[in-house]
Amino acid sequence: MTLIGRLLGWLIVAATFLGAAAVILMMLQIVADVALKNLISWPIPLTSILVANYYMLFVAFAPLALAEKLNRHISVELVFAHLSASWKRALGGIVALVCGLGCAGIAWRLWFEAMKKFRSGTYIQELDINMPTWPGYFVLPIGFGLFAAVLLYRAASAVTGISGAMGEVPLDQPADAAEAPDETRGV
Amino acid sequence: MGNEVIGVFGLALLVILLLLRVPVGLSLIGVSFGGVWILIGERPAWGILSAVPYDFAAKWTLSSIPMFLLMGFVCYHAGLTRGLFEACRSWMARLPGGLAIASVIGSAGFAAVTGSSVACAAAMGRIAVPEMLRAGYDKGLATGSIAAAGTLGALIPPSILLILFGVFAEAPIGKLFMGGVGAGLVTAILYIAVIWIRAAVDPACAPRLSTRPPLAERIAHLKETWPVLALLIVVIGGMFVGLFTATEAGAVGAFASIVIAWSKGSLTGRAMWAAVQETLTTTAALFLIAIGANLLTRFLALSGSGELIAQAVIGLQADPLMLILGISALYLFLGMFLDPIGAMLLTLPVLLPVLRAEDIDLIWFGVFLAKFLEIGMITPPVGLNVFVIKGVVGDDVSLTKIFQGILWFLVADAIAVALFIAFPEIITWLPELMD
Repeated sequence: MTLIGRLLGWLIVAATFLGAAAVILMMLQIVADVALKNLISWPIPLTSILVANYYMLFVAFAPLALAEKLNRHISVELVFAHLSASWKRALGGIVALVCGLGCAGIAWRLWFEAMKKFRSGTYIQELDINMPTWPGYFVLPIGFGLFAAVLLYRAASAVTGISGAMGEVPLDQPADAAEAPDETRGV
Repeated sequence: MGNEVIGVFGLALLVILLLLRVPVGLSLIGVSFGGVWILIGERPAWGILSAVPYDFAAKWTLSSIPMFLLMGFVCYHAGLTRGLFEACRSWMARLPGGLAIASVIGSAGFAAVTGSSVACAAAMGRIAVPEMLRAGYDKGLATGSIAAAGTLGALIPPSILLILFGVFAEAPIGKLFMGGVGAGLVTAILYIAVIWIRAAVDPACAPRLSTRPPLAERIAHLKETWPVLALLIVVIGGMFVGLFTATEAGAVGAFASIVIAWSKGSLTGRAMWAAVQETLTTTAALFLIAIGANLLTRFLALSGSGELIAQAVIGLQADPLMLILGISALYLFLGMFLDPIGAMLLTLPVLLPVLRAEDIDLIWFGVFLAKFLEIGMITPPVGLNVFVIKGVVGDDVSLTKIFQGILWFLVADAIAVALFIAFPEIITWLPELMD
């Protein structure tokens, strides 16, 4: 159990690095595109395709599991906050199990979709360039798959009582309570 | 069972799942998927589920969300906004309630570099609340003013709420941003008026500082505000004169904030990593909900229940003012319990057809909605900004005390909302100027 937690922790770090690289590259490319467009009227080709069909997918889906690990997904605490510790663990465990299975289903389906796009070699044409877009489809099942794994790990933690190996924030500890502000909620 | 009934059952199930603490995004996805399956079968349900996440996220316009988030987090973690409060404080020191007024102005400035109300309250709360408590300010005023001023974060552009509204309502984001400027400034002025009046009526609640820094020091403080001013000019100015679009403004702003923080020497590796990591988790959490809301829109459209509810609302009241007041009451209620993004995305699928049928200006409505959702951030029992301030002050000030302090600002908010309805130009004149 601890080993699985550690392994998941490492996978989340890897996914976070991919997301971080995408955020930075996206920023640099858009800025360069704006600058060149305004200075010499020469926009960088394929910018909008790269942003929409590559960077955005990494930014939106690679960190799904990280957000779960840090308890940053938005949920309604109205009832949960008033439950006793044992009820919290029970309800949290059941919800994590059902959500984990649901996400695994989504990941499985998105994998089929990605394979379909891979086989058909999906691309977008811009300025006579055929830019393949199929690789981006694989980010989704990987993101949801890792998200599912973290949720199932949480469910298992609720049963076994072993937790913390992944470095996760416990379910009953909202990030608001931590010293760092929780900017994920309420934008 | 009629299709509309399935839709209404779906909405009821959604509420139950939310109360069981199923993440908002997954609740939306689950209910919509199940609903579509029952309505038109298994294959189309899987089809929609496998297409929507990609189609929704792979959008150029949405790239502004992570970019504006990054800008705000970099400013926050690199302490770029600290100088802003210091300058406001030294200039406003002698005014009645000067420190609280300085915090509102500081928050308005921070709002121009962040799209999030909670980030705004957190950043200003940490600097200004301890300062006010030390100066002997009433605890309710010290905490309430910051919690309320934080709501400017989602009104004054950039604003994540307005970007998402623009995407869902197919309204131009640049114009929504400009509409937010008027609403944000009017709100800030009203908050300042509330502080001023309170301090004038009851000087004990905000003891005036006996000394103020010498002029040279005040001017030196003013110079420290350059990072925020520079960002403001780059982002809002560039967007307004058309150097770049609202979408591109996010990346330009993020880049500029990194350059400024780096040149000031305040951007450590740790601060940068924290900013990027928070950008990623926030984006993922927001997109999960937005994808769910997109699926819910499809489910409600297929079931016809969205249309049914919309028709019922339209049939109920022909008067647009009554409709707006009804919608206001709905959001006031939802805002008391729900996160603003969740409240907005849950209700837009049902409300947008009504708004279109009644021919209500979507730019005006988007900003008006953001204002209401932000009021929800400071109303009990679930006021996220209040919880953030509570986190800053710890056991020194009770939650009840903070909510008491906020009551005054809610009066200002009620006046602001009345003004927006009576004089929609407050919101619409800047966007119309862009034409």
